[in-house]
Amino acid sequence: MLLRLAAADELMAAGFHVIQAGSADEAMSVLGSSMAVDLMLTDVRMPGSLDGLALARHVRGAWPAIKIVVVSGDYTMAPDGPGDAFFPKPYDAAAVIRRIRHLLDIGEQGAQDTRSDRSEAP
Amino acid sequence: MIENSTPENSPSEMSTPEISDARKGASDAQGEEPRTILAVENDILIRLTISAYLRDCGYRVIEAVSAEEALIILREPGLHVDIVLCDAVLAGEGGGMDGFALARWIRANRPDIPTILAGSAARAAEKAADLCEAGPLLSKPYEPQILLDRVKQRLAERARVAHDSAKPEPPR
Repeated sequence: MLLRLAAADELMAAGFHVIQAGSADEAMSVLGSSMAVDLMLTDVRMPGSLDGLALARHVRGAWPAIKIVVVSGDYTMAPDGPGDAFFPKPYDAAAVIRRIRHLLDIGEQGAQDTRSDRSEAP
Repeated sequence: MIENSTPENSPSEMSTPEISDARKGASDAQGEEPRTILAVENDILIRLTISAYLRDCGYRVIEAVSAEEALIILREPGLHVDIVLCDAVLAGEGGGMDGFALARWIRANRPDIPTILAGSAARAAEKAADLCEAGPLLSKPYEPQILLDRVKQRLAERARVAHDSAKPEPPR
């Protein structure tokens, strides 16, 4: 949970709008709502009815446009799992952010622009 | 998860936020770090909406899914929390700690941190006996300006208490 907070802080500082889900079930609630999600970052080991891999497989099938980054403390995990990128923990936040920007096809300024747009919304 | 736009539909627990002058009061003074709010809410669609609103108002927000997560955060030496905003019910799986119990824990162990509890009128009546200890209840659905006013009020009260306690004793 503290890792989730740290990752969210890093991503928000990088200019992304971050939705924090405490479990796969919470993630499914968000994905089933009207909110537009561009990318999902998930740990493999999570509380709830699905682990991160099952969640990633479900998201890939149901919303193929959503990019997926998987992180895990299991170094033996094959990096060709159900995601666009895999990072073993502990991961370098800067490297994860670079990969996210690449996956979303945005430069450093892109995420900042997104944050500016949000803060000016009524 | 990362998304790039404002939610199209705000959850029914909160009406449409208006930011206006809301950023005022998010920090002690200009140039200082923003105040940190620990938002404890088990409904993600409500939590993400109030958290986004409070961040837009200039606060730093730490999100907790449950009272148990909130306790981990409050016990973590590296995390500073100025005020706790907590749902009173926190209907979690397995009958975990509710917001009233969390408020009592904070009162006993971290009396320097003010707590705002939020809940429905029915729940408030049910738990009326606890209200004096747990602090004034903020009714849901959230009214953004009322929420913001309450946060500012509780932070100001805390600052006043800290100031008064720092005063030297008057000469006798």
